Amino acid sequence: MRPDDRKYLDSHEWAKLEGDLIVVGITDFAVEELSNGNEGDLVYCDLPDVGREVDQGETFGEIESVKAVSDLNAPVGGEIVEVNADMMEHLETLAEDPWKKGWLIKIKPTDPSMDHLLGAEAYEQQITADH
Amino acid sequence: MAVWNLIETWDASPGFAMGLDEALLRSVGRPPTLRLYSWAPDALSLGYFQRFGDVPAAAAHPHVVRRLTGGGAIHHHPRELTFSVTLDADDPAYRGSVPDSYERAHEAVIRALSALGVSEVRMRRAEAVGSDLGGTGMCFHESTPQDICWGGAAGQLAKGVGTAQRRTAGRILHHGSIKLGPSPLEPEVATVADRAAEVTPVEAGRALRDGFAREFGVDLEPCEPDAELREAAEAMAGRYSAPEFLHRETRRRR
Repeated sequence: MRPDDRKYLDSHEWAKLEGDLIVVGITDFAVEELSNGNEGDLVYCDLPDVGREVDQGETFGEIESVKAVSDLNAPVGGEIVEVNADMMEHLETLAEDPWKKGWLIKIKPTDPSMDHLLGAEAYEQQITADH
Repeated sequence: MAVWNLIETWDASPGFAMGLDEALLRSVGRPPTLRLYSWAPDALSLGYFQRFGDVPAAAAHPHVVRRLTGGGAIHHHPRELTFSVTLDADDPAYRGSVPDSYERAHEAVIRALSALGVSEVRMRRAEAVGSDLGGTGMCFHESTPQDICWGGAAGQLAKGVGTAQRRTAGRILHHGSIKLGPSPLEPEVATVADRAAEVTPVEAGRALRDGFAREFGVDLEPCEPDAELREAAEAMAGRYSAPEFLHRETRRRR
């Protein structure tokens, strides 16, 4: 069971409230889908600059595996106030620990509500149904 | 039996070649489409995050574009067939992981190459290839286990097909290059002419069409790009060689 201390997008990003910020990452399922578990298959991650404003659902970055470039989508709208530059240099972190060390960005949300996102159980059901 | 669209655009300009793939990718609700195409004039395409400076051949080439898909640079020339598949991400043909989707698509290409007379064509898996060269930045000089290989002119196993995907907004673009004959910018790669009678892109396209139809169990219905699709492709055509895109800064190291 994926962590229930956060919410999920159907495009496999997760969002976790920490203080007044929303921390965003991608799930282990997303990493597996990109690479079949071969951490060396994650080639590059392009993250935005601090200060960029994003809308809910907007693509804020892209991740390249050996065989695909995929979008990274914002679960909430707001200002990007932190970016995990260290993870960009060590992409294996996404495979090793997508839930903590593998965070991607932190958003100061315009609206902190995450009611529109999937809970852990709903996300589990979705990925089971789709595959 | 499911029906896919089949579009053929021969001698496409580099911008239109990329623009039509992007227009197809962004056509929400469009049925799965196999597109067969060739390029005129010849051109280099760079990977989405590839540094321009990492491709020595790019500085001297008059026609260079940047793709939406990752990986290395590819030389698109008259002795090459390019193709693309565009479809919804939840289409049964491409469900599952990215590597899983490559298995079926590459099996379709292998069927086509076998039908053209290329012997012992297969995915690389753990075998060593003679086409892996450093320093060129070319896609065909860096292989991965699922890449399609066969015996090249030098007698060594070499990469002869390069493909890549872009996944966005619930849609997938999977496009690729099949080498029919050699290019001085891509030495040591495998070509159809190394192992069989050389064929034209149109002839190779027929074999590829049949390979996809059989592998995916679909009917392919020929169609022309409609006006809306064509206009979208032409509107985007300039983007792929625009300096801000072509020469953009990227921190990707290889």
